[in-house]
Amino acid sequence: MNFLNLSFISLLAFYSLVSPHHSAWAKSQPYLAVGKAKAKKTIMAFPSIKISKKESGSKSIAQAIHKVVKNDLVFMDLFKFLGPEGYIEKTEKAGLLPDKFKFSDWTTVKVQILLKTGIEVKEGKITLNAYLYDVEKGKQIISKKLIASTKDQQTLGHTLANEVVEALTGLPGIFLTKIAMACDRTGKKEVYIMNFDGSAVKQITSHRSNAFAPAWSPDGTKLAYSLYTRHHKKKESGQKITKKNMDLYEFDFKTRSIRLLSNRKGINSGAHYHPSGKSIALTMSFLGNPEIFSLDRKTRRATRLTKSWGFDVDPAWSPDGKKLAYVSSKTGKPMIFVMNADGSSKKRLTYAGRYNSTPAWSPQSQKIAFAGWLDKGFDIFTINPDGTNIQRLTKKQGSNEDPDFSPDGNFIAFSSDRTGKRNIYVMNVDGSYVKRLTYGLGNCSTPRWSNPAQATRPAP
Amino acid sequence: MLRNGWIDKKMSMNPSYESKTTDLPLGEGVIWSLIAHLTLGIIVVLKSLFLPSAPERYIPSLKVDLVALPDLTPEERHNLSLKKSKSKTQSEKKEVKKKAASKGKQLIQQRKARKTKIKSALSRIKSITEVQEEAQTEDTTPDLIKGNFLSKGSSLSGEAKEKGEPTYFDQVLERVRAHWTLPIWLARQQLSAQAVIYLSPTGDLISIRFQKPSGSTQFDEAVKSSIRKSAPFPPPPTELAPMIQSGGILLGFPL
Repeated sequence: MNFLNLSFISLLAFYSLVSPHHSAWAKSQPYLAVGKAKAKKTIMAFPSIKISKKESGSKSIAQAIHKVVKNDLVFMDLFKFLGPEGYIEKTEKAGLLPDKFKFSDWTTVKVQILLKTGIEVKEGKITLNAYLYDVEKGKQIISKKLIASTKDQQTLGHTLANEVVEALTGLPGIFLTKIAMACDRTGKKEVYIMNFDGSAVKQITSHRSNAFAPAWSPDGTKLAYSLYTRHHKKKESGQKITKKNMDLYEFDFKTRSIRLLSNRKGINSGAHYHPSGKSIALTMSFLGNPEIFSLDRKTRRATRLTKSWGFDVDPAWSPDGKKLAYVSSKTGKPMIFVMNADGSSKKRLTYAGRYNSTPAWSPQSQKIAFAGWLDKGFDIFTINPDGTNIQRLTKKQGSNEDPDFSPDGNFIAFSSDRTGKRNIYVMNVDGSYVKRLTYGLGNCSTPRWSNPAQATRPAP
Repeated sequence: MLRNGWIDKKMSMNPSYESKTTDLPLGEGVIWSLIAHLTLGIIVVLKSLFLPSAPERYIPSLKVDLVALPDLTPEERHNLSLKKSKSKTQSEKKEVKKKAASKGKQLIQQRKARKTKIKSALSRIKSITEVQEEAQTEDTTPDLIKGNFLSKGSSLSGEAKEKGEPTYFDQVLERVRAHWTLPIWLARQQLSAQAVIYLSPTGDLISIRFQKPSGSTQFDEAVKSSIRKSAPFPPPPTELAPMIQSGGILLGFPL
């Protein structure tokens, strides 16, 4: 007994020695969580473009390009520009390379990023040299030489802005991307496309029926959309019957032709291309109840992915193509769910709200945006794919629907009826800085942003 | 001797008392219990020797608000927290402007030739201060808000719970937090890094070692610069100084 007592006491002593609270033994440092950083806009200077070899008209070209690049960079809402009145450096005298100007001229006015450019216009050709500097480190970030004909000065400006944004943020620039949508300017809904900033609107379809819910193929060469068509059938009595149906078509920008993808009875809608481009997820109701299917683009064979008593709609592929977000009413109110590409392991994401619809995945997979009905009409929300961190982005500004991320994940395009008519808007992913994109196109809905990969493709 | 007598009386009433206890055998259950305790003890000892536990997080207590779709947009939450701090900075700014203006006036009277120069300098100062104005901070600690947000609870933590006063680590944390900024595009990405800082007994930064880099050089650079800007730190208390110099403090950005 004495021995036992002794051993217990020694054990207790040993315990206290090795317990994790004793730093000498556990060897783990004290751990402090610093928490979220303060997000700050980066201060940038972009002096006017220097012109070498003055050819007539080169000044106006330089000004036009400067305007395009600056507008693009301002659109990003990531930078603050120091105006020319704040410069110490004399732009006319200073050069583009570090041996021809002083970084201290910029550090003293607290500029962080400096974009210096020069052009030479010769025989209808623009040669643009651009240098991007990290002023604080006194280092060049990139240098680019861009050549374009004077006709393409807009594209030249957008290309430079893309390069600058990609060099700084590591994410692709969006200044040559397009947005597809459905608008009823002509009285019927047709599919349109426009540039990221709402410029250069083009009508793609003219069916004089309702064409809607466009979807870009990943390479940007095709657009899938749904269309109300008439199906003709002959009865045994010889009587002709005409029935309206919602079919799925695909428009090819290269051949400018359309191809039928599915005319199964009922709904064929809400198409979303798989990132591989080989299949399309969509809602079909030929079995009676709207369910989600995966449609092979070549064989047009459909694979069923959902099976529930409620309706399952609005499929949206994750950027890696391994998961699918969708809306299901199987639990009562329509809620956002996520499942694997083969339809397995369905997981509920949202539990609150009256009606949650149209999920869209951010290209970096960090967020899912959706339209949720909370008080009066829909508003845009974002949620992490694991169901945490729900954020409300719009409020008291009409009904806001159809969110879709920009390819760099910095913006969300959506439709809103805040002015009475439904128009397309763009906002930052945190809900700030809302910009209206469409004017005079009637009611526009379902904006869909193209990938930047197709940006270099000539406009259709 | 009344007391002694009482004890004697008791003893005499119970003559076999002492012998009974010595004769009592150890029950089988007790033996098993001892064995179980011993094995458990050995397991715990071995585990802590060979599998050291994860570092304990040092964070303030948290409170979770109602679970629902969030009611406020990030902007609204930001404005809520800004209201208090705004009035102060505005009055400061006015003073600066007034001073600059009056100074400029005197000089203009003295020498008209310098007028334009000063004007441009003033407009430069103005444009610089404008551009310097604190860009919005995206994350704010909200008041009571609908939706599952974490909000600041009572900021008592660790040992401070008993003491009710900020510890040395609170001071370190406060310094680093004040300098922890990111460009917006980095703040939007969900990056995280962990770095160990080693401090001399005087509080000077000896070195930074990344325990878990974020994978983004820009982010890691921002972490480094926030630590460098926070240095020198307040000198650690003498009982902690050797540990902080050799073992360092682990900082999580954000966790």
